[in-house]
Amino acid sequence: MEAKSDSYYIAEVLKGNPESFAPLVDKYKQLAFSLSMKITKNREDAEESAQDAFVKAYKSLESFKGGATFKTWFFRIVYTTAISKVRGKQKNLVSFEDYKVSDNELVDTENAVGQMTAEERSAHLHKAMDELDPSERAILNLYYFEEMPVDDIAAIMDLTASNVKIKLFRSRKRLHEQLHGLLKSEESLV
Amino acid sequence: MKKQDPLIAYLKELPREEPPGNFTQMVMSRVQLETIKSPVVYQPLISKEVWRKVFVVSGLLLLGAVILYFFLPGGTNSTSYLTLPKVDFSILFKPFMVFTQALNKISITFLGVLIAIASLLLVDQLYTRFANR
Repeated sequence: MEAKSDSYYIAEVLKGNPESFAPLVDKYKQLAFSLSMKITKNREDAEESAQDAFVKAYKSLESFKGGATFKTWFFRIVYTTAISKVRGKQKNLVSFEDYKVSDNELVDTENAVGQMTAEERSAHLHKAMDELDPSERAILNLYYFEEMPVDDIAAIMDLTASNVKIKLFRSRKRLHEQLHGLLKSEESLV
Repeated sequence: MKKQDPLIAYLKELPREEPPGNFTQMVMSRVQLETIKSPVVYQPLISKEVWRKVFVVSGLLLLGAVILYFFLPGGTNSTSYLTLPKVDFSILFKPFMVFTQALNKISITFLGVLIAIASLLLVDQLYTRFANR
């Protein structure tokens, strides 16, 4: 079947055909779920949050003016829905946040991670990512996984483009620090 | 921007989280539920814009009639067709005696127009309220 543009399906929904929303769900469900998962860190919460975001988008489709792309507009809904879901759940985090690492230590960490098997690396990266703030995980996901432009991320997260760049830099640095802390804590256990 | 960071390269190797297989159906069943929950909202028969025009035109006609009454020769001695018999608006609008005296002598058409507008407004409101029940 020939894929039509987002605006075609949006127009159809607004004409009173709710079933025309299904192709939009199919198209964006993976991205919505992935971002929700990065923010909530929990499969059930991510599923609920992504579903809520789709329903919210459906209900407020009339307010979509088409100034931004549907993807950016929808991702803003996904982001805010997931962020409000995790709000209040962040107090019990055990973090390695106080680790400040030197450049040499960073290189050591990268080397150590490079020598791990794919499974070990995946497990360590997941753990380190989990220690970041939800907004830091979101920004890394949007930029590196979804490869979204900085301007789109700025629109989604309600930041300026320069703030996005600063936050990206800090998030990457925090990821290094978390990973370093994680490796250090494992060394001390051995 | 530093995209060649080795850690970021490793991060990109991580498998993507996939939504459950029935995700679309689950969202669509919620969407259908929302569609059912949202009742059809009846709009008034006459839009606000039309009402605005009706009031502006009526106001202008009224103003025009009052002005004409004062400026037409012999305006103070009204002819019978400009007289509104047996309805004394001055009882209602005592503070505006000059204006109401003028109103008293304006054509009966105005009373008809006012009653017509009020009736339309009433019918419009009744329709909207009953249809939304």
